[in-house]
Amino acid sequence: MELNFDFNPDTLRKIKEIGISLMIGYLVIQSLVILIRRVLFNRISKQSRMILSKGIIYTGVIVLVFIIIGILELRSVFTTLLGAAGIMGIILGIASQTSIGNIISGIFLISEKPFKLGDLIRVGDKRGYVYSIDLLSIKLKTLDNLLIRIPHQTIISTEVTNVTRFPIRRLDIELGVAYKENIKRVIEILKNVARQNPLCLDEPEPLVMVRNFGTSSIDFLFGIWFEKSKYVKVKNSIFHEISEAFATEGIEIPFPHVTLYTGKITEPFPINLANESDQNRRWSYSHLFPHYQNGYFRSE
Amino acid sequence: MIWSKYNLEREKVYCWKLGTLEFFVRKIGKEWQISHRISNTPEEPDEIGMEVPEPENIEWKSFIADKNDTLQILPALPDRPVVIKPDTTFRLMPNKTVQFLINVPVWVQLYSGNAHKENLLFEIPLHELSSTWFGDPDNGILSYSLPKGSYGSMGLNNPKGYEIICPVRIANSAPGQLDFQRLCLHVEFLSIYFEQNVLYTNETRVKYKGENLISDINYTHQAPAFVENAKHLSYPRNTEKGNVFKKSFHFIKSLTEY
Repeated sequence: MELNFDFNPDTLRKIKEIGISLMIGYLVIQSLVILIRRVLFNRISKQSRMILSKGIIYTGVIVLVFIIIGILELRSVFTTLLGAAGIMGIILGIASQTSIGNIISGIFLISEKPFKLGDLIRVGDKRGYVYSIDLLSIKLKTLDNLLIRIPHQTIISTEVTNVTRFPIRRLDIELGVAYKENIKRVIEILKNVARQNPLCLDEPEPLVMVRNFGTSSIDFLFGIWFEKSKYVKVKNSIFHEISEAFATEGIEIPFPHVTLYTGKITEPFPINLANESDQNRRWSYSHLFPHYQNGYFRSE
Repeated sequence: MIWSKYNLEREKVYCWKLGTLEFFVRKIGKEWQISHRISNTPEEPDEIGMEVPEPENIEWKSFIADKNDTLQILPALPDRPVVIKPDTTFRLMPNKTVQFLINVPVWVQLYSGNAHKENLLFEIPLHELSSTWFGDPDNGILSYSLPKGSYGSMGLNNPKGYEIICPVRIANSAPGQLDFQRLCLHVEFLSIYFEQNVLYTNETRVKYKGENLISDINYTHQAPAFVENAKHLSYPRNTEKGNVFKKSFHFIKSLTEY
């Protein structure tokens, strides 16, 4: 098979013009992006720089497309397109429904500013730092270094929690102590733990609140304020210090348990100690169940 | 006086002990080696640039500088504002003025050669202050909290150990009383002066105009008037800028209501 390319002077000129246009266009776009990044480095936020850079890239690409169409003299294509605009509009509308939805959602997101680049956010069960905000989606970098792409439409319709929006945060710890403990003493011990920990802020003051008389314990809410960047350090140190303080002060953290209580005026539960005949009866089962001894099954 | 220049012999270890803080310095070629620890013997008298054998179990931090063997030690104020919470709330009547003398724990700065910003090797607080937040949780400022009894309104405060006296004059020009609950002092904008073994800062003057109006805050550019022949030691960490002082009083009693 023989390929026959008809490179007449006009075609060669067009190819040359397109090549030059692409090269110049690329250089202009890149130069503008670099210029914005350097000149506005300290003047505008990282997010604004990113949006501006992407705006320049997208605009530049569109302008380049029009230039190429102009070079190729595709007026007839335009005419045909306009002629078929009705049908094309419907087709494009259906095909790009999701994409356009995402672009519009992205515009809303940018104007609403629920988060910015570098913020730690939670979207549904996903959690990560905002890595980039693009035309159709945002990218999250998770704490274990994975990249998640979330379309703007999902973000718009989902509850988003910005974890690092404010400079300080409160760490809420729910803990329970045994019913025998003195509530005032426990509150004082917890306040003291917060006072002693250099990572806990003095103000806003730590919150210690009795939440509930639980099934197995008196439940407390212990809330301490800290700088948002110290989350892991605070969490590790405070749990360790609560545990130490409770151990030193003899405060019991009970495990879940159930107490059977018949009340004061009712008779005690009819629990009788096993007598000799019962013992004998149990032993009599032993030939049937070799692991059964004293009312219990022995483990191997 | 500790706050001066020291010419160190190379490869020898020198020790400074200031209360509970102990730090060691060694110069090897272009390299400064610095280590610090909490003193095992805080009750013993202070040491100033004593040559000592290399202590065991210390971790050196290295700083590559130049061949200059001069070490300059200077006092500094904390790197964040400090918040003063009076032991009891008090009120300043309209058109009255009060002067506080606030004791702020000193930080120690070590410079290679002259005390220029670019020559700063290391700095460390003599006493760790606890952190606090001044203002609303979404729009406040991270600060240090001064311990109770760090201020006095009558006469001159006796600085305990290595502390810097910061004079603050507050004038109430509002028609109502100034209910003084907390004051945020931006120490990073203050200079340090030295006179007779006591460190001072220039005076901060606050003119309170009312709860909803921004207070005027000015600084004198010399040692306090009650100190004569004070020597200038350190420049501010930051230079005075715009209206950073507008949030100097705090009236919200509690931020932890659940």
